Amino acid sequence: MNWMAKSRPSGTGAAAAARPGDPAAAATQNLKARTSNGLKEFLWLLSDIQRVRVLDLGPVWQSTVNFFLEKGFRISTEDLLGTWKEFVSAEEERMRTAPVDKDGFAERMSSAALADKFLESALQYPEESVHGVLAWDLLDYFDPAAGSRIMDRLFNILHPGGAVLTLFHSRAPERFHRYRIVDKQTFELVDAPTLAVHTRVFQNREIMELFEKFRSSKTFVGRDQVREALFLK
Amino acid sequence: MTDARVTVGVNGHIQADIEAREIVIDGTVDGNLKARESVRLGASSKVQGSILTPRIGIDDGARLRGKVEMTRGGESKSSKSTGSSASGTTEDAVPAYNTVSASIERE
Repeated sequence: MNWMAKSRPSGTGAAAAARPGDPAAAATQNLKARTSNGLKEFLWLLSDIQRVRVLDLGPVWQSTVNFFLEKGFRISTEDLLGTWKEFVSAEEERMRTAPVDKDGFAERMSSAALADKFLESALQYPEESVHGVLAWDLLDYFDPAAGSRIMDRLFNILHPGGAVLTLFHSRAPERFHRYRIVDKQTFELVDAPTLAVHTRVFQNREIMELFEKFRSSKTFVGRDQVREALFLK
Repeated sequence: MTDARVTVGVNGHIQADIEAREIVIDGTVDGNLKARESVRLGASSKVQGSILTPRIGIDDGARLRGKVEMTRGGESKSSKSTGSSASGTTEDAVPAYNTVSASIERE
């Protein structure tokens, strides 16, 4: 897939998406709706692929599922952050109740080992089977060891030419949000109970290092200073 | 495919594939769902498996770890769920699933 070589449809851009009376216009009037150039570009990149499979790493939403199914895409969902939190809680409980060894030491697991164990059951998709991944802002909520392992797994399951759409906050967000798609250029921020503490604000260099295996990237910075990043395998 | 309507109640826990005319999940399912007419995932549902159906309704709060694929046969490609949960009932025969801890009732 080549950003430069691929022709673009006319009428793109926020103005085109916000025609009065259409869902996008209604959505953009909602304060929680966010016009997304990253999403528009993500969909454009997938538009020429037959039998597209998209993986949404957030919770399952009716609007997002409808959106992709109506396009004829196949969609998989896996709430990675929710699953991670459950996994960590279960592991902490297991280690808390585990007997200490003969030297009096209780079991401890490094963050990297925890992530490796988590990935034994998470993100279990065949290699190169997914064309697009919606990672939203979840990498902001994982520590570096877990984040890099997750990225390695995502790279493996992505089809060559596939894309990952991610968001990076430029400062710790005031609220915890989940995301769902409203239309081809708009997603909605859904207030949610805080599932995880915002771990870090990525510097641009750190983002590039995290995605170093990917062959190209594009970044869009919104007025809210949220960086939308699109990475191509 | 059976003509059953299968509902897994809030406290239901199924570890098996479900194939029915209509499937409503309010509990937990580890298995694939295949419906001839529709699948509905309630707010308290937790599904790990694939969903194959002509119509799907998903309440906010539902959890799904798996893929969704549409089949032909429904009048519409997808449907918006109303948010109201159906009661735990099963119409007609229930297929002989390998049920570990199921909450399936008959009307």
